[in-house]
Amino acid sequence: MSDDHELVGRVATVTVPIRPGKPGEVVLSVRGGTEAFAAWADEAITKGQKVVVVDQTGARSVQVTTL
Amino acid sequence: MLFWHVPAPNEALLISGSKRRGQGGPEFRIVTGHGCFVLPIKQKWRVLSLSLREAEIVEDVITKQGIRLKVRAVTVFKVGDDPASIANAARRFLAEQTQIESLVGRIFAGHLRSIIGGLTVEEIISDRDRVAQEIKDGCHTEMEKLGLVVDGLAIQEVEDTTGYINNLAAPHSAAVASQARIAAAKADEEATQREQEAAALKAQYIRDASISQAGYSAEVDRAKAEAAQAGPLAQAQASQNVIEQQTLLAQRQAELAAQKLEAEVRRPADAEAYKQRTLAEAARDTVKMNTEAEVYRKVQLATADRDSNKLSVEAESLRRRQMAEADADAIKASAEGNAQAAKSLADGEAYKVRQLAQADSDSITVRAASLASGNQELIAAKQLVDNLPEIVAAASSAIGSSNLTVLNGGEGLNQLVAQVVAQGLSVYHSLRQSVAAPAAKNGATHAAQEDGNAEAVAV
Repeated sequence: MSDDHELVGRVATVTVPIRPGKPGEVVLSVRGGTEAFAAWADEAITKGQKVVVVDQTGARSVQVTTL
Repeated sequence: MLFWHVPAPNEALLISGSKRRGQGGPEFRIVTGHGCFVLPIKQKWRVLSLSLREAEIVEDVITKQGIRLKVRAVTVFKVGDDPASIANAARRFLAEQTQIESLVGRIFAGHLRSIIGGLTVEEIISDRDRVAQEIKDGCHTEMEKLGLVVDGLAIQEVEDTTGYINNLAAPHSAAVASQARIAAAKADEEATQREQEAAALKAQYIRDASISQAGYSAEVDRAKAEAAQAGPLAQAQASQNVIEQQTLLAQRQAELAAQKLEAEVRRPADAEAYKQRTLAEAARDTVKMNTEAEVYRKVQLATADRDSNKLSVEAESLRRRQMAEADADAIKASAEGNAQAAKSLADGEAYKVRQLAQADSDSITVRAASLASGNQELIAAKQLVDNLPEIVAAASSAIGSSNLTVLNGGEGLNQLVAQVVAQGLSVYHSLRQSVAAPAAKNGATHAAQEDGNAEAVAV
């Protein structure tokens, strides 16, 4: 995984609401396009909110928190 | 270009054969977006498509409420673009790329059951977010292991074997149907109302138009009739004018004839008649004048005769009447004279006695008075004046007692009376003088004198 593809610290938009313990979905700008990632958070985050990626837990999974 | 390979934008070039350093990375090179040199024989290259793929799933599932549904869904997925996903997918599907769809479909069918099991029918129908959440929750981890990304799950058809959805929709559909019927009824009512109103208006317009047509046709008929009458009327008027003019002409001719007759016949006749009448009147007047003159003359003569006769008769009758009156007067006067004479004689007698008594009393009174006052003249005068009527009466009685014959009628009698009066007056004067001359005389002589005078007059 190259550095230019580092996701942590990037700002994403929630497209599927996130509930605590259950994944939602965020969209990130990656590699010149946008890609959807499963996102977990400690709190419930509604659709459309801006979140920041704090950790990448898998190839397609990130941990996010509200701004 | 024999050893230089370039992948398409939707492809990943996987090169194996070379020894790779570094740890944690895959044991083959993954090249995307640009070309690379592949050593022949030593290296081997394959292409993995990163395109979108779809898998159709038909599955009997049970919802959260325990309702059995037959769901037909389509899932859309692709190989993830990141190297980890490409490595995972390559390891699993590189040789069986054409079978990915069926493989994933079968895998996904189990996930679908769990996804639907966490949802209600209403959420499946209406809540996309909930569906997406369940998809993520149900299959993300497994798909990540396969190096796949689920872009979407489209539930194309839900077959409801228990009729739950229909029942769910029934009230709404009934309400909608009711509303539809109400709306249809209202629309029908409104349309009918409008139609009837339009029909009423139409009938009204037709009526108005008929009335107007009737009025206009009546006007036209009237005008036509007037036009038809106009010809004969004008002709009649023209004839009337002609007749009037002819009448006028006849009147003028008649007047002319009358004027002619007047001038030629009547005026000469009148003149002739006037002439003859004037002549006749003149003749008649002449005769009349002559006759009247004759009559007048005769009347005058007769009048003169009659007047002369009348005058002579009247003179005769007057003479005879006067003679009769004279006789009657004479007889009457003699009778009256006799009566007066008798009366005077009686009166004279009575008077004489009374005067004697009076004279005695007076003489006594006068003597007493003269003795008292001495104003005998005045007393005497007064006594004379008081006794004058009796004196005269005595004289007249003396006349009456005498058989006097008056020769010259009434006139002679009057003279006689006047003389008697004149004598009385003269007696009075003489008495006054005699009284005035002797201042003192006695009443006896005075009374005797007076009696003597009265007797003298009576003789």
